[in-house]
Amino acid sequence: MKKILSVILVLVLTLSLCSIALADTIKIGGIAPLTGPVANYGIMCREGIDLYVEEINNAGGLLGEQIELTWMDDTHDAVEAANAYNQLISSGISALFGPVTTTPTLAVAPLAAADNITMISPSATAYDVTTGNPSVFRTCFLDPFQAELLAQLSVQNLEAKKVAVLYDNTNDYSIGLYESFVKKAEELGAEVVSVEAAVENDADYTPQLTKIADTEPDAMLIAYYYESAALVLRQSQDVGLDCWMLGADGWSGIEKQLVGESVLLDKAIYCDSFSPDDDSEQAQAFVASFTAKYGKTPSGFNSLGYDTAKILLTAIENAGGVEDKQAIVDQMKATSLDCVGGHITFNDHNDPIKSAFMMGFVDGQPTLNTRIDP
Amino acid sequence: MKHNRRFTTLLNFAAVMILFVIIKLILGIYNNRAAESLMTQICYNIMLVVSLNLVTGVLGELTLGHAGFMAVGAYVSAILTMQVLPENIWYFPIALIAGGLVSALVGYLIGIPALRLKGDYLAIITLGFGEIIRVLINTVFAPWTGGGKKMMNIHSYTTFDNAFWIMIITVALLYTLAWSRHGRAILSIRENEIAADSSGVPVTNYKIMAFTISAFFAGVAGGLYAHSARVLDPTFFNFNTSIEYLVMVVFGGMGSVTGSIVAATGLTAVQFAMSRLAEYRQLAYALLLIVMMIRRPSGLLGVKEFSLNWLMTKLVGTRWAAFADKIESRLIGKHPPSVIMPDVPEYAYDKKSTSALETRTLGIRFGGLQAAEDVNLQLNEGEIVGLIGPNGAGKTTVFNLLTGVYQPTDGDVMLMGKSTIGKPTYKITDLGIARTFQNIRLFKSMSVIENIKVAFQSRMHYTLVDGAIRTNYYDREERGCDQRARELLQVFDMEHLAENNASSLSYGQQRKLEIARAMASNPKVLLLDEPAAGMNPIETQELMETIRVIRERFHVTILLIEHDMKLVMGICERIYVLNYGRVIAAGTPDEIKNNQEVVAAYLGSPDEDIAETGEEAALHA
Repeated sequence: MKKILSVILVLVLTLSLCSIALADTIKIGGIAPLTGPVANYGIMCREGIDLYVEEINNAGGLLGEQIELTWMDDTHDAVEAANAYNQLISSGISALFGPVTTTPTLAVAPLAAADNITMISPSATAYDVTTGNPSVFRTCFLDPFQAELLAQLSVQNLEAKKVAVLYDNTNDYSIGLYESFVKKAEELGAEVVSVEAAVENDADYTPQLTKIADTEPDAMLIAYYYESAALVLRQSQDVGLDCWMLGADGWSGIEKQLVGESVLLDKAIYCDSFSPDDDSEQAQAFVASFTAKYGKTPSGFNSLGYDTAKILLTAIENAGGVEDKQAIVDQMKATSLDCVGGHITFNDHNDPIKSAFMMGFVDGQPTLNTRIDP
Repeated sequence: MKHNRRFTTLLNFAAVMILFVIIKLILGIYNNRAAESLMTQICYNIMLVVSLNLVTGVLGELTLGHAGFMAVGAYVSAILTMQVLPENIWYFPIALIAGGLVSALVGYLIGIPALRLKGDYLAIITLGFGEIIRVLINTVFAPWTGGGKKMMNIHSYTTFDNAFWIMIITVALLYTLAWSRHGRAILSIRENEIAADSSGVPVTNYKIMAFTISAFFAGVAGGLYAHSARVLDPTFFNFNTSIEYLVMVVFGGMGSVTGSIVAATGLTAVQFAMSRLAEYRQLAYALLLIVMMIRRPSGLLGVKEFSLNWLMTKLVGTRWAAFADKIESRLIGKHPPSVIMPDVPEYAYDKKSTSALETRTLGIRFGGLQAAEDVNLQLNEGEIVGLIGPNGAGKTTVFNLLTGVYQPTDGDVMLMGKSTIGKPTYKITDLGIARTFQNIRLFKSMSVIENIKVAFQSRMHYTLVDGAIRTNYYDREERGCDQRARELLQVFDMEHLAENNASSLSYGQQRKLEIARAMASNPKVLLLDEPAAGMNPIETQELMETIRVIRERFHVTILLIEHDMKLVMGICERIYVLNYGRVIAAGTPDEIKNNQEVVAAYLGSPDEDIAETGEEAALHA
């Protein structure tokens, strides 16, 4: 028993360590949190990337070569991500998908830049990820960008005069949203009547919500991820806070938290990078193939993964292969592609310029409200 | 068993050098960055696990906030290299040490209140501390730490080379600490806190010391982490991270430095290799832990330590020992003379006092219960005095009052004319009162000779630094201590058992060892709490001999509690009888035998409840 167990263990370890070398492949690495507290995001991004890579491989590969994609788990940890990157580099990758979350991306970005390896994160939102790292790109829009769009939406479309914010002062995503939202809202002439901070996962936001309710805002930004945001919506109703509820892309998937309570979502709007309702050709084709492969409707993160793969692989194709690393970086910078999330180009800071989708809810189901193009 | 210290040091250093060269060669040949980053990670993980082991394994206190100390060191050193010191790797050691020191300071401040509590309480407090540190980094210190926005682009100063040597220094220091009088003291606290206290070990001081040292090294390791990861995210230093290091300590074996090193290396490498298994890695890791814990519940190595000498002796046989002796004598030339501690106590008597120990109207009240009242005892120098009374009469309470375990609510205790009131137990032991316990309290997993050496604590003086770098002073005192300890065992006819585990001794031998340990602190007054309990008549007879011998040999005054009347009447020159916390009679054995009040207390008088006291009498008949 002991022997068998150890033999199995050794086999598993050996297999996982040796990358099976095949002739004529383009080796690309992927780093994502596949386990741990934010595994959800990592897995969603991977699904999107895997789908696109599979489509390319089935259609004969890239420049006639198959793409060999190796995934590594970073568990949302800086050191694990750096280790994963070093392992991938040692196995000879030419470019990198990921990491997905900000901390690991901050750890890997300078390493990739030093090696001049092109790397594109589907979803790392912190501004500094690409700063000073010319070979590092991202697919998602930045937190300030979506916060500004949300401010614009609430003041101009929803005609809000008084706005409030509930955020987490220990989370950079939340802080980023709050700062940009308040700045833009004030710029557009709205009054910021209340700003309350509470750590996410606190479970009870009633004290903060009661204070906010007293100031009677017309719209409130809830700068949380979907699980906590759902709780806030529920508790807002309890304290009699009735206004437009706004969220950023972290709300993606919130409807699953509120099955049977769809009334809570009637006055909720969030900003996402993708809508399955979008009638563009790319979006519809993506939704069809994704549903066929995974048997579910794709989420925003799925679409980011898919677009990430499309952007990088197209750049490699335009560069004519993986031999010239600088050529890939240059082709990335020259990107101009119609993607699932709209038309994408990059600015000088390697951030995408792309469309945003304002999602409302009909009977508890996210429904495209407005598509804002750049 | 002789220990060739210098030879061992040289041997270990050579082994470490060879290890370093081998790793460098392998890294050089494969030019593999992944392997290098793994090795670096292993180095600081070893530091974290070994330092946690000092508190959890060696001291035996469960802490759940090790990641908090790591965080303090990481942030302090990163802030220094990024915002304060000039950008030059030569300032890196300063930043690391500063990180360690701040972490140690925090450890000290938490240790003072927390370590007075025991077990679960300490665990909860350290758990809370870990969370508070994280929140403070996120809020109050956010202007410097970046808080939730993270600290990024930290200089990548940590290399395998510097991490390796810092790790080696850490392990070496913690190892030498473990084999000094300080390490012995810390270990004895884990084994039996009350006995350690009564053997002259300042328990609270040592707990705080261990905690502070542990925090220091965790802080330094945190600094290495910061300059390796290059991004600091407060969420990393959470409860889970603390638990992960705790798992490594348990996995390697609580208290074993070697075990900690093996576990840190193995588990870090396994985690690293498994990052490709993605979804299954957590499962595989958990399975590995479960299988391991079922197969070896005490961890990989239990409490064992690996030693090269041991390995070489296994491989080469006795020739190795001869070789070691030869090199050692070359290295050291002639041993400097040992510091031999005096055999017989030399205490200055207060001029006016003639008695060794005296109590005046001693009493204690627990809430409504008067456990002892108006107890006046007087022991002349060199006397053997008995303290008897029915169960629950307050005899052990009196012992606890004499040794400072309880503070009396009334009265005074005079040792050679000087009051001991208000002094902690270990101080009183130091001043000259030693004791044994009703239910044996030995340091069970320590050897017989180590048990004795713990009690030499108050008579040894070399410092922490002497112990860590093994100065001549350390050498001389340790050898003197070893010599005295063996002599003492000889008196008790136990020298042949010196290297045995205390728990492997027979009951009678354990009792004797406890008395021997009490004598090691060189007492003026020895308190024996039921020394003959559980002994057969032959053993009791031997015990009486031993008690007489030690009185002659060590010029000690003895007060003993005993139910065995044959022993009491046979050996005691005077007897005090206690009932309901009061002295009801005092005198020679013959006087006591004929005292009506004593007979009534034991057998019950017509006015008292016969059912209860009658049972007592039956027990001691």
